[in-house]
Amino acid sequence: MAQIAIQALNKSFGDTRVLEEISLNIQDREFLTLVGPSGCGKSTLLRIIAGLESQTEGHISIGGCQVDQLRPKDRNLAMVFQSYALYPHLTVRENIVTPLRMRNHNWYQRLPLIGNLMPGAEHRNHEMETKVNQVSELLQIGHLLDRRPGELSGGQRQRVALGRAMVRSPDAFLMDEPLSNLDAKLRVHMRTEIAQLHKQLGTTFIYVTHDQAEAMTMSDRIALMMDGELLQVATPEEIYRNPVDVRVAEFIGSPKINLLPAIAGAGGRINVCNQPLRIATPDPLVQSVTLGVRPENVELSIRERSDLQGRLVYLENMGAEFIAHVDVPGLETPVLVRCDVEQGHQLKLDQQIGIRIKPKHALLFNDQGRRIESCKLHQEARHEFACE
Amino acid sequence: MNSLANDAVKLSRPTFASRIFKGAENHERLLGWLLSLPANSLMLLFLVGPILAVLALSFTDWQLGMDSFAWVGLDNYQEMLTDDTFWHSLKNTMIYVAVVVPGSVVLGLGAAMLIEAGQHGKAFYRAVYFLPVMATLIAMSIVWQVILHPDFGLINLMLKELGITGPNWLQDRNLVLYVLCGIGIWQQVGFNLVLFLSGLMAVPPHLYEAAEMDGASSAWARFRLVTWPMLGPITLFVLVITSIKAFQVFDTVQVLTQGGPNKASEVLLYTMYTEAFEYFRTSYAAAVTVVFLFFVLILTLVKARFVERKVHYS
Repeated sequence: MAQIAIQALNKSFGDTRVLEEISLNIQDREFLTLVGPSGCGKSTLLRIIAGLESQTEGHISIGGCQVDQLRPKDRNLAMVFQSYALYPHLTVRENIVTPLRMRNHNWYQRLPLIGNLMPGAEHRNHEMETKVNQVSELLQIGHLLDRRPGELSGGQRQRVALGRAMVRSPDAFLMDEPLSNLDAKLRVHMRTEIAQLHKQLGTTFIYVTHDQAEAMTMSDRIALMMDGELLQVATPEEIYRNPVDVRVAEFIGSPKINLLPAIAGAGGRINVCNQPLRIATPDPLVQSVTLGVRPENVELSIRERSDLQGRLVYLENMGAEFIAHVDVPGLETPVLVRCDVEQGHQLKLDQQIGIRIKPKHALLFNDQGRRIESCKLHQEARHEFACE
Repeated sequence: MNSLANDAVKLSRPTFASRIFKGAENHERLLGWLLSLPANSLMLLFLVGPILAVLALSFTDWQLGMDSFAWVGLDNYQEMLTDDTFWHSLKNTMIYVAVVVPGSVVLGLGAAMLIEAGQHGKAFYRAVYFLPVMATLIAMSIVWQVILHPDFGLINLMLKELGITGPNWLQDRNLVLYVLCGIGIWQQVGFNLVLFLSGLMAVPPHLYEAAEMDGASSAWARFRLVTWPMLGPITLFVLVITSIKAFQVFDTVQVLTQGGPNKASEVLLYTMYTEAFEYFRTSYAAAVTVVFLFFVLILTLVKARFVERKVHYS
């Protein structure tokens, strides 16, 4: 069992607070991703869980035991580093076997040559050999065992680092941006492999990344951090559809969500650029809001049926779809609209075009960036403003 | 550059050399040699020349100031083999190297790791340890002479306070060489320390964290797993430099003991110096120098051939 509980964790470096009141429960066998922009404290949190750094306040328990006072090796966790941190002077085999040697052998059994003469050495060596072979088979690095890390490619080093972490069957794996040193193609490939590995091993994974795509594709749950705060912990689906904070909405999703400054008018009806939309907020006190709408929830339309009008300034061809950038007068950034290939081919740059926002998927945030309720207005009752 | 050189050769009339070296490739090769001739000749004259001169001298009977000399073959070397002083100084030099090299390397590495592990004052400690390296050993030897004086030297005064009668450090035949070793270590530690410090700073911190996660929790385990292998190239360099410097020990011997008492601190370079500049037996001194150079050459070869390959990992 490796449930990991983090309670009211604080961390400061001098006067700088890097983690503020982080509380998080990670379930056994869960794949949890800590995601956020660089400098948000996600790596620090991971290192505190590992025991490589100590918290200023708060507690961490693993499998029900408090580990605040335990050294890294006694927490029974394994870590994969961004730089892989393989020992350059050891072969792949020796690298992978190191965690076993360090834990299962005492100092004189580790001595070169003499260690092999100690009682039980043969049995122990055989046991370790078997483990290394199992791991290398699983990761398909059997043919690399006698090479040094310097002779391997980035992807191969990545596998070796995974192997070194796996060989000991730890309670949980901690991964600190393990894919960020790989090229784009390999990164996507390793994404799947790590996710599959998680399924095979059935161990808790805590995965740190700044790449929202990695977080979305691999995790059971995502913990989104920003400026040392935990903003939202939810499944990828939930965090994408129901972000609780405008910063979450902005961070998750590619292309980015459209954020339009809006004003709540009479009856809470939302106006963007003085154009009333079919969206309202039930909260009568709210005035200035931000309307968030993802590019797939905006459609291009003819003028008569549109919410806003603008000029098509740029058309991104993504192959399977197009992203249209529509410059709406009065808005600072163009509105991104996802459209299918057929529609995309008919579009011409600089043409005037209308856009329509799907009211059901519109997200409203107050001036503090917090999510507020929104509702769709009945189309027929244009002057009644009744919430559906 | 090459095409320019080719053009220059094509334009010039056929010369004697170009008749020997046929074809464009040979032209180019000749020109390359010609262009590097000044640098090469200076190098031969000033770097290789003196060594060849010493080697040549060692086969003659020339003495400083003499008008003529005769070739005597291996006579000088034969004399050396039967000369007690030479064997004595060779043995002393070996002992000196065998003590100073491990002593200054281990202490330098230890101090470097302590300084690196400390939170404050890295620059201060580095500077303090480096002081003996910067100070002239001749001048420092005079200070050591005062410190080691049997009657009013600092060390014996301190021992007296504890009720111990200190020995006559520099006149004791069994002790004097090791006193010189101590001074040698004192002088060399700072140099090694600075090199080791730079080596330690180059060790990726992630490796220590990986070692910590892998279960290497004791300082010794981390040293064995990470520090020592990662310092391989630096350690090799330090070993070779320290060995060569130890072979060159001279200043302290000259100032403090003049090889005495009774040749107990006679070392190779000092023998060479006395033979050459006190007895004016230049050719014999040259032979001693050749032996000295032989050892240094072996060290250099060991560095280049055997060890260098084993300590670079990529």
